[in-house]
Amino acid sequence: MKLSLRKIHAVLQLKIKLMLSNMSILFTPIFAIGFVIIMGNLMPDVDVGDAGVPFSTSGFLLSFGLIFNIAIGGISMSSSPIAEEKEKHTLRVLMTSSVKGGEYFIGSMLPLLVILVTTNILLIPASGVSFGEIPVLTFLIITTLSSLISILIGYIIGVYAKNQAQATLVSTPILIVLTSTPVLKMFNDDLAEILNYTYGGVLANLAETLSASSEYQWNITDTSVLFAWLLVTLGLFIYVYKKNGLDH
Amino acid sequence: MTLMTLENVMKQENNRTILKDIHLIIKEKSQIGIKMTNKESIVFFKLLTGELTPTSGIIEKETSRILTEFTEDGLYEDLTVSSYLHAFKKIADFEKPLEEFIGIFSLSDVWNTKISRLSFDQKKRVSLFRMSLFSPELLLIQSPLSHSTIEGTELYIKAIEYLQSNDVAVLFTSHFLEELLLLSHDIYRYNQFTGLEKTDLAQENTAMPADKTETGMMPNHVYKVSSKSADKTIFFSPDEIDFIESINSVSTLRIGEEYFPTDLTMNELEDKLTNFGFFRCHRSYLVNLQRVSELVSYSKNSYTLILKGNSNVKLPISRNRLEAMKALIEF
Repeated sequence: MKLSLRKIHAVLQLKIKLMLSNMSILFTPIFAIGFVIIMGNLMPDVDVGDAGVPFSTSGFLLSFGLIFNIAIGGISMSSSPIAEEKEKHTLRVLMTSSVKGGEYFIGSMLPLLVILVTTNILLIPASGVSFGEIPVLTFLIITTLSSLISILIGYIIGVYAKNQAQATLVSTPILIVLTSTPVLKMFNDDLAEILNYTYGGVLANLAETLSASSEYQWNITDTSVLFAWLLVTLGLFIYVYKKNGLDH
Repeated sequence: MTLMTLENVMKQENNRTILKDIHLIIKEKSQIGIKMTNKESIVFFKLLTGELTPTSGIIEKETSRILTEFTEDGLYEDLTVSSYLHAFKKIADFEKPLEEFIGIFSLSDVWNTKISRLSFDQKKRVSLFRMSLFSPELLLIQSPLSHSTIEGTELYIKAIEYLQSNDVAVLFTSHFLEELLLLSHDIYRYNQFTGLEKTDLAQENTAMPADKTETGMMPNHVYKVSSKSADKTIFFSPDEIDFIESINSVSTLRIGEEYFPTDLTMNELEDKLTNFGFFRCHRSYLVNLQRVSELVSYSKNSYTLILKGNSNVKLPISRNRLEAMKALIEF
């Protein structure tokens, strides 16, 4: 399938115009930053060793903001517009206007990815963590890959769902599992072991080290898990897209 | 130049025949109207664009520049007309400035207005403008004037005329013949039993060439029932008519789900149509016997005729008329 850069650019511009004309899609990233700032002012500033356990308030807030932004923001921001376009029959118009599925997905993905990555970076100062305290490159790689996986999961839901209500219904349990991964890992070791093989688990591992003010160590398991999830979600997305198409 | 030829096209879905006996030639610049249902129209458009494959028959396409517009198609309501069309200008790689065409599509006063604030008429013209950006050769449009105002209809027709002057062929489908009369030059009606049939039309201002009328060569045994609508007169072959009903002393032709008034009285119609298999089953009804499928008796003196393919239509027949009908069709 030969994709046209001009059409990808046109879809990208269209999506940016739509975001600017209706800012509600930016609610989750803005809420994540706002929540982290407000909680940062409300929570006592606990640092390593103060309570006998390694803990950092700012690290905890950053991890919360990351999971909120990547899991909830990434999935809802990618699934909802597709479902909305299907429901309002605007997607069919695009598809019959010579735009291919690949051009639509790439054009729609780019602004989302930029918003998610920018929010991930802004969460660092918002939570009070200094850039010197965290491995920035590792942070960027893991959060960007996780954001990409969330967008792909959102696309799968969007392609599968017939309307926005169905998209919300399908994505809610996935969002609950993803956002509660750090808590579930704390309560049950067996479950923690299983969750280590999810991209949410890798994100939780990174967040855990940030909240404990320890340094994250790259390991073969986390790397493999992230790439495996990326490949599986991409494969599943292509399968669902080929099976359902965009206009069903 | 012929853009598309359909020969004996038939389409079935889930063991149900949606379309059959479709013979149609679409030529450059043509404006064709087809009366059909929403479902038939969707399947028909998908066959023409190649999205669906016919069950049988042949579709020969000489163009790939075909665009469709279904009634339910949406626009990005949060965008302004200008930003919406500029987005599609980029997709279509349309080179000329859009501002040159705003007047043609009568959108000058709403150019910077949000689409959500536009009327139905204006949205339909935005849609037409968008399709024109792709330099199509054939447009397939489903019922564009179903909710239009008189002014909106005039402006839409003006835009269609511009497209036609640029060699674009347009095929409209609608459930209402009146809508197709306004938009098309050639009108067809799709009937689930007989397939696609062309409807004869005569423009009120079309003069008959003098030499033809003066030769005295007049065909025999031809009769068509006429019905006036707007500036056009529609001619129906007797075999197209299901039945004729007298409503408030106006003889009204019933064809499928539609009604067409005529100037003739029931008695005049009876005289003319008896030879074509019509029967006066009741003072207010003249039925085409070829369309009758059942005779039902609900009581000793009450009989009802049910028509083919439309069991909801029940025509009364009195006992003495029943005897006459029995004698006529020998049952």
